[in-house]
Amino acid sequence: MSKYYTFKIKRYLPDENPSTRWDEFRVKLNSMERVLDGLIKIKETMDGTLTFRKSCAHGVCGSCAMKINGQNRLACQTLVKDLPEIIEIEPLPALPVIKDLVVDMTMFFHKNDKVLPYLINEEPPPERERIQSPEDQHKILESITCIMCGSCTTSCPVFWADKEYLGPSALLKAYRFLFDTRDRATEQRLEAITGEHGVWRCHSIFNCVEVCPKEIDITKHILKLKRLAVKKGFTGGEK
Amino acid sequence: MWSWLLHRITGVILVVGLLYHFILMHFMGHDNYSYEAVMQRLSESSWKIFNIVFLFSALYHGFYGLNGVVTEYVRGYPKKFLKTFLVILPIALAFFGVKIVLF
Repeated sequence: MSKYYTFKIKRYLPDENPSTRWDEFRVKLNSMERVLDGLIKIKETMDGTLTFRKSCAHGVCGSCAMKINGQNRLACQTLVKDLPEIIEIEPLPALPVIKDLVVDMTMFFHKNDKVLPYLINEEPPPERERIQSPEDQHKILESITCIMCGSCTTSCPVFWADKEYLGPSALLKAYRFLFDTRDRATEQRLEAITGEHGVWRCHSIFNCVEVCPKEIDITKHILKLKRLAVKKGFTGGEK
Repeated sequence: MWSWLLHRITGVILVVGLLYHFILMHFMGHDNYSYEAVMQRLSESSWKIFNIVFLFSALYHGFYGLNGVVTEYVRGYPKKFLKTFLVILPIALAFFGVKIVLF
């Protein structure tokens, strides 16, 4: 069953006008189509200047994260039938906008770099591979599903105020390696996340958990990081 | 890390201490608040210790929280100034508080 939806899109075209404006488009979509389908239809048939990021369109790449009706979501994962007839779309908050719905993610990825987002293990590799048991894998399973779309960090009020805060996404990435039994850089990584603008700035607001398109309980992971940092600082105990 | 942990610990002390304070000050019957009873209590060293611990917990907890607010919301020159102020002020308050409790 098809229905008309009104897309209200926050536009920013720096070449034309230094200020933002709201454009409205009436789009006919069937109930199984997604917000992304609406945006593509607008770009292809109504206004070719509309700019947004999109890649896989199946909730894996995280490119199309945007603020839809006041909440950060993936456009490719949000069915229009779950939304009211007027759909308001804005770029992700708290990051500099480049054009329309495209934001500059440099700051976001820079934070990610700070937590050393790669496996560090100086020990000589075994003949075949570094084995991880299913139980050990289970410890980091949830954090591995992160697609780094940026919905969490840009929904975090602490990040809105304090741009130096690492943010939920980078902290989740730190968790993913800190609790990986094959990783050996515990001290180094804890050092990176326990600064003034690190893990202590999380006040358990849960915005990140609410918006995560992969339904990761990010706050729980951050609290585990705090616990690990305290434990290491006290006893130097095992992870 | 230590500062954060101490913030949690003082939070617990404050909850327990406040409960004790409320029970003692508001639900113990009228006789408990007579001049003699109050003077007796004020001279007990356990009461003094409780009050000093309570004072330090409240000051630390409160000012650590304010320090967090400044860390997140204030930028540039005022940040340095406010952070210094938030160290000096509780020390001064602690000094006067201890003076009141002890003498």
